[in-house]
Amino acid sequence: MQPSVEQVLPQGLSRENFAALVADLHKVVGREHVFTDAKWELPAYNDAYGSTPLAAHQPSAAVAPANVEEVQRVLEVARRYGAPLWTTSTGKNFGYGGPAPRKAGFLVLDLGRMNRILEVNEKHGYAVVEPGVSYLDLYRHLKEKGIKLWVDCAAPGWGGVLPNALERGGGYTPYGDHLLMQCGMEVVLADGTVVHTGMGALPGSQTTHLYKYGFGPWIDGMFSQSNFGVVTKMGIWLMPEPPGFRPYMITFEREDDLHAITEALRPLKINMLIPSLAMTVDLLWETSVQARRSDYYASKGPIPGSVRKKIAEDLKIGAWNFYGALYGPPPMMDNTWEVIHDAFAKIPGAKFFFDEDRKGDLAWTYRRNLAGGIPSMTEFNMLNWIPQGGHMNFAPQSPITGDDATRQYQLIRDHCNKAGFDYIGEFAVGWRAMFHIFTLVFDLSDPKEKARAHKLFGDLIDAAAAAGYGEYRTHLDFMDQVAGTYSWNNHSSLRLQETLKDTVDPFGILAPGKQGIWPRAMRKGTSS
Amino acid sequence: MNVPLITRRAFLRVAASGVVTLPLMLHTSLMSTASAAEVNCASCLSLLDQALAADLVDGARVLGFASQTLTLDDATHWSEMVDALSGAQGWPIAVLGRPATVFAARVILEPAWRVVFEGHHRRADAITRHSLSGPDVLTTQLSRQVGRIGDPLRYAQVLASMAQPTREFETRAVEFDSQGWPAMDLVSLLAWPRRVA
Repeated sequence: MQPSVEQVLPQGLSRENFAALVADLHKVVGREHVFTDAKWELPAYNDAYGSTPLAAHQPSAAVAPANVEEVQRVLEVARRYGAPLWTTSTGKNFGYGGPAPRKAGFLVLDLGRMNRILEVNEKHGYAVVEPGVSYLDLYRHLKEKGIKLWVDCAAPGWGGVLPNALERGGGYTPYGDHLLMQCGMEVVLADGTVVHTGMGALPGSQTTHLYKYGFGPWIDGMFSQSNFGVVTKMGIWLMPEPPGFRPYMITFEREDDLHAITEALRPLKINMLIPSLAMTVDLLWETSVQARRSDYYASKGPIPGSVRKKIAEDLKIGAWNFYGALYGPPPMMDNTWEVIHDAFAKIPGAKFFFDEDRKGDLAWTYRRNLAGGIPSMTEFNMLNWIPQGGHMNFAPQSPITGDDATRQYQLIRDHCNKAGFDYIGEFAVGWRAMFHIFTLVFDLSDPKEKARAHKLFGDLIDAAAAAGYGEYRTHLDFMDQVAGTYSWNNHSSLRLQETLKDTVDPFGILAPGKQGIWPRAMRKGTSS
Repeated sequence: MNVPLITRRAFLRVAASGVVTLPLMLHTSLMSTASAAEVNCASCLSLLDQALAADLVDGARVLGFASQTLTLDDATHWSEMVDALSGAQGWPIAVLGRPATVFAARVILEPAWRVVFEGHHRRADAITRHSLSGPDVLTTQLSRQVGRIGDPLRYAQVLASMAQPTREFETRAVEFDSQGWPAMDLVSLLAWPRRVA
């Protein structure tokens, strides 16, 4: 059982006013969809994997509206009482804070009940979804209807199509840049106004989900990783089923190969010979989804080289493992493969695999499926790596160069080894940059290890920033610190964001502190 | 795909039969060391990690209790699990599996269900260390029985048989050792429908 947490109240609200607020929410969504019991109901909105006490992010209540009208009325109640709302839906966001709010006492606005797939247009290749639609839901819908479109899914298939795009998450097909593939939003502003973005602002528009930018400033990006509105509907482009699909894996023997892999990869990626999100994955990441740490090493501290070698032999993987996929008519795939093969074959020890070479390999199977638009939850098995394992994701961006990849890898590896942790990471290569995802896995039952993990995470943010690398996304506990690293010209970017916040949410009720953006009333003296 | 599954319709049929709460004697092949124990699993849906559940699901069919295997590795199977849960609204749920699998199930269950009991079963050398936390009556009975039943599959059945919700209870945490279960760390939980707990 999780430790019992006391009932908390929104800051500045008396117990009587809180009771009145809850009663008003009952009138909006029904008693069944308001959750206030700290012992039995609200643990669903905790961050089960964080490095700080649950109480630091304990919500006072959660409310789950079923439609836009109810969202508007919930916002009206929140404005009346000055109660902050923290939005979540079907996506779990584990590694970045889960569904938990930034501060104790916030109410969770749970959009999970808004789970309708409003439209799938096979001809034009898009879907329109509400926030509660997961990749698994959309995949199932397409299969049941026989629609020849693919879902580009995040690694955990229960992730939400809409919220993942808003958090700038990525997938593994050529449509892997989710925010890029987003087209047309419906947003409820803090004052209850409903806005259709882009072409959707035109009454009767024929192109709401076909052309992203509309007329005038393109504002959709304002609602990603932000607290400027509640996005209740989104169009997302879906990839037509290709005439051919050939996923592949290339293993590399040495840690030092990262430099050569990245140098070989860049021209292939920039010239779009590798259209999918290309993945360079380290040995322990691939191990952790199919084995336990204690299967190989029972001691604390980083896994030694001799054990890593044994793992590589057992699982037939490399120190680095590259995943990509070919799409298109077979002759085109054959030609492209020749170029890719020749580029990587120059690296000594490179081994090439296709589907028929890795039957029964769990890590290969889920990577193959992701590249083919098939969601699963396999990556979640990483949480079996150590008993009661928590995790946080450290995610700096990197140029696609061997020097930068190596510098980031060594920086993170050395910091985490010194702190007594394993490096478990991957590079996800996008259009012009790489997401470097380092998963810091720690023992939730060991307070000292949790504290070490927390300190390590903060140290990594500072060390990365000093080297010119910024995080694209971060855990709740570190949002202010990361926002603080984007400090050029006396934090002018954050000050602009704060100006926007004060304009579109003068009540300060929407997700205060999200990405370090606090409303005016909460700005002074706040810290993570 | 050959998935060991009791369908939603079958579950509802089983669940309906559970209203009369027939006591069931565990088949001796499933519970040789506790053959005298009577269990009634008919009013609980069990979610069992596919990694350990095949034998149990066969046993469950014999005994007539509703079970659904759970895996993180297959989208179709996941959808079937979600279907089974939507057919089990209002019923207790017992879950047994590897930590990640059980946590994933928990995330799906809450807050429509309330997790009232959680067990951690950690293999260490020749023994398994059990840490149970939940209603006093449940942890007491389980701590008495786990030593005798000796393996996770039988434990799952006993857990499911103890799923009758009550409104008031004292929470208790216990730790004890048993003979070693198969070499994997496991987590169990019991969840009651929201309006009962």
